[in-house]
Amino acid sequence: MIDSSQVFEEVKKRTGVPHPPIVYNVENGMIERFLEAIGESNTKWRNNNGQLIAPPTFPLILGFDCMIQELNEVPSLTILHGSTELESYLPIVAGDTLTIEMCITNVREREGKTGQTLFINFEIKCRNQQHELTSICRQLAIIY
Amino acid sequence: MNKQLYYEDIVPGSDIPPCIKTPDKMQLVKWAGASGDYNPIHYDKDYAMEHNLPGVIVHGQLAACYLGQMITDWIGEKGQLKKLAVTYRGMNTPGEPITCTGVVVNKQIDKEGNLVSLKIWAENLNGEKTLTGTAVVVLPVRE
Repeated sequence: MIDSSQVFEEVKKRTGVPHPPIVYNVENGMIERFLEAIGESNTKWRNNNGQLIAPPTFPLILGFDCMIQELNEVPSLTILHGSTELESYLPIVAGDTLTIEMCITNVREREGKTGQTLFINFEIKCRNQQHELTSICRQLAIIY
Repeated sequence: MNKQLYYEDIVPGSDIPPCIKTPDKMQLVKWAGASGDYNPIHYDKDYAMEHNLPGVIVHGQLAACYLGQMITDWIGEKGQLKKLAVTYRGMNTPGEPITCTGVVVNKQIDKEGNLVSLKIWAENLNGEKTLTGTAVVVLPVRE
C-alpha cells in the first residue's frame, strides 16, 4: 500500500523526465464520444469528406488519464485542477495518429491548512503523423 | 450553421453571446469516459464529501470545453480558436446551470493573422465566477 508521501516523492523525482510517448489513433468514434461528452452536435464538426473534425478543445483529454492515474491510486489524496492552458496550431481530424509527449515541468510544495500540498505543472505536446505540432497543453494539478 | 464572424465586425468591449449548459450526472459520466478522468470527486458523493467538497462536482475541463464551445459557436466555421487559458476558481455542481460568457478585449493584425483577444469566464447559479480566463481567436476578413 503506497501512501501520499511516497506519491509526493515519486512525483518530485519525475520532474523533467519525459513520460513514455502515448499514441492515439483518432477515429470518428473517439471524436463522437468527445462531442457527446461536451454536448456538441456532431453535424457541425464534419468536413466535406464526411470525416469528423475535433473541436479545438479536444487535446485537453489527450494524456490526461495518464497524468492523474498514479495520483488516483491513493484514496486519501484530494486532487483538484488548478488551471489549463491550450495553444492550438493545427486541426485534428479522424484518421490522424497523434503522439503525446508529456512531462512534469515543475513541482512546488507548500504546507496548507489540510497539510502538505503539491502544485504540479504538466506540459503535454501533441504531434500528428507528419510529426507536426498540433497543440501544447499546460495543466496545473493541486494535490493534498 | 452559425453566422460567420469577421474581423471587421469586432468592437473591443463588446460581449460574446453567452452559452448556458446544465450538465447532469450522466454528462459527467460521459466526460469521464471520453477523457479518462475517473477522479471519484466527480461521481462518488460520499468520497467527495470526505474530501471536504459540497458533493459531486463538475469536471473543470468540461466547463473549460463549454467556454471553448461558446467561442467556436460565436466565431463561425472560418474562425480559429488559437489559445484558451483558464483558472479553476470555484465549483460547479451537476444539475445547475453554468453560464459561459466573455468580452472582447483587443484586436490586432500581426504575422499570426487577424487576432482578437478575449476575456472569458463561467458563472455558477449564484453568479460566482468558477472559471476565469483568456482566449485568442483568429478571424477572417471580408473578401
